[in-house]
Amino acid sequence: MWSRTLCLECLVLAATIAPAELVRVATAFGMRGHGAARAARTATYGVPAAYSAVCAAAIAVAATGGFSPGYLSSWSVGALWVVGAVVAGCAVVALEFGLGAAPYLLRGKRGLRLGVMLASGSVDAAFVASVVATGIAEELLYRGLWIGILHERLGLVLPAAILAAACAYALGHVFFGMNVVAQKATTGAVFGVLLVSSGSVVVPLLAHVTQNLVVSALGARQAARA
Amino acid sequence: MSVPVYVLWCCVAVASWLALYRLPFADASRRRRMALWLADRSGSRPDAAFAVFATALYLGLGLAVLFALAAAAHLSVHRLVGAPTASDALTLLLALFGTSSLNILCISMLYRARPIVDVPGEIARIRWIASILSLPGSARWAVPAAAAVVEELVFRGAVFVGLGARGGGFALACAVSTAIFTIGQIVLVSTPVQAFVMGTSGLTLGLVGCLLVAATGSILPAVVLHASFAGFYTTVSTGSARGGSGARPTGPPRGAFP
Repeated sequence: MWSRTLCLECLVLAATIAPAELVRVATAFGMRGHGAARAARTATYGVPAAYSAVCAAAIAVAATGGFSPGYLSSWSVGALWVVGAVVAGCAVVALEFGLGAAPYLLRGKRGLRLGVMLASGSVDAAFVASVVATGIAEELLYRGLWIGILHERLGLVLPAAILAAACAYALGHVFFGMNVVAQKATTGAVFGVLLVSSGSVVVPLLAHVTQNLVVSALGARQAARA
Repeated sequence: MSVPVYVLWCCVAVASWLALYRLPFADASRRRRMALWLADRSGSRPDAAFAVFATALYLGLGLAVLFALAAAAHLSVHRLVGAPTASDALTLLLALFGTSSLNILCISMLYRARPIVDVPGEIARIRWIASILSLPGSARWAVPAAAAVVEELVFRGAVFVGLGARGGGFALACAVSTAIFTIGQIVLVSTPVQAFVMGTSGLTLGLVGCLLVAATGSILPAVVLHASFAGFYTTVSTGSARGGSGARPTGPPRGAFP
């Protein structure tokens, strides 16, 4: 009647738009805390768990459906790409700070102090593991799977596929506020360009992990000064 | 029967179902009289007796619509049920994740626009959901789950698969079944917040349900998806209305900025 594979591909895309929102389900089971520390703890474990579960299910469905994108199977890149990924990871931190500051600068505000969002007020090993795991799952989902399906399977031109994947990635951050959505849409587009230029998900993955490690280091420094 | 005629037939059938279902709810004094009469006959409490009656009416009318539409579209049981495979369980799991996360994303956006809104309380005050609070604990998830099974058989089964069987394209069949389903959810509520929550969950369930049915070739995974979704969220909302733990977030799940 209709193309089953096409519907399965669209289902994978629709089901992976906002995995982090599944943390709300955990709060409905009574894990919600009243203090900021418990809320942060729920996010530290809940967000990577939600991303990992959705990512694993989506990749498994794509594999059993026979439409696993080529980007996900290409894991070998040159040393230059590794260096490029690390540099890009540091650069997007500056880019996100710039985008975060832009609305204030445009309103004429001066003397801004930039900071990292830290609900618990500190950076520990669990926090670092959480943001690294989340970053890896996000790259597999929004770059490897999304751009792969949109371009390789649905025939979307690369710029449109990169933008659509960046928007989906940004939408998953809606609970952080619209500023963060704009930051993530831009970063997502940068990671998308890294994916299609290198042909492998490893490059945006390394860049994203670098970005999250730099943000964690800045957060630790910020917490130590406070 | 051509596709436009079948679309019209679906609209008339579902509109009749909801109109007949709303009839006993429409007038408070009629509702009270009927509840007392049912309580007298059954020996149970008036509110519980009326809730059981309303549920039976909703399910019975829904099944009548299902049979009428299935007959009009010449739908066989085999066409509806298909032959699900083990890998469809994985697809169902992904669909469960997707429906929940998309639905909560819509509610997150509502909280962002109106931070003081009480979503679980609003859901619990929807008349048919409020009525099931009078039932024993175990039936509180069974009623929405049963309603979900019938709704899935009608909207994703008779309407969506039926339109496909009549030669309709996926986009048309998905749009028609999702629109009728969502409007059907919205006419049973009484406030804008209830309309937003039920409307967005209707759109989410409709879209994901249609994709799931078309991807697996069976309505059974969509039936499980809708029943578990409805049973879980209704229980959470009514639990919250009684002072328990609810789905309402206290704020963004911070701490995962990257």
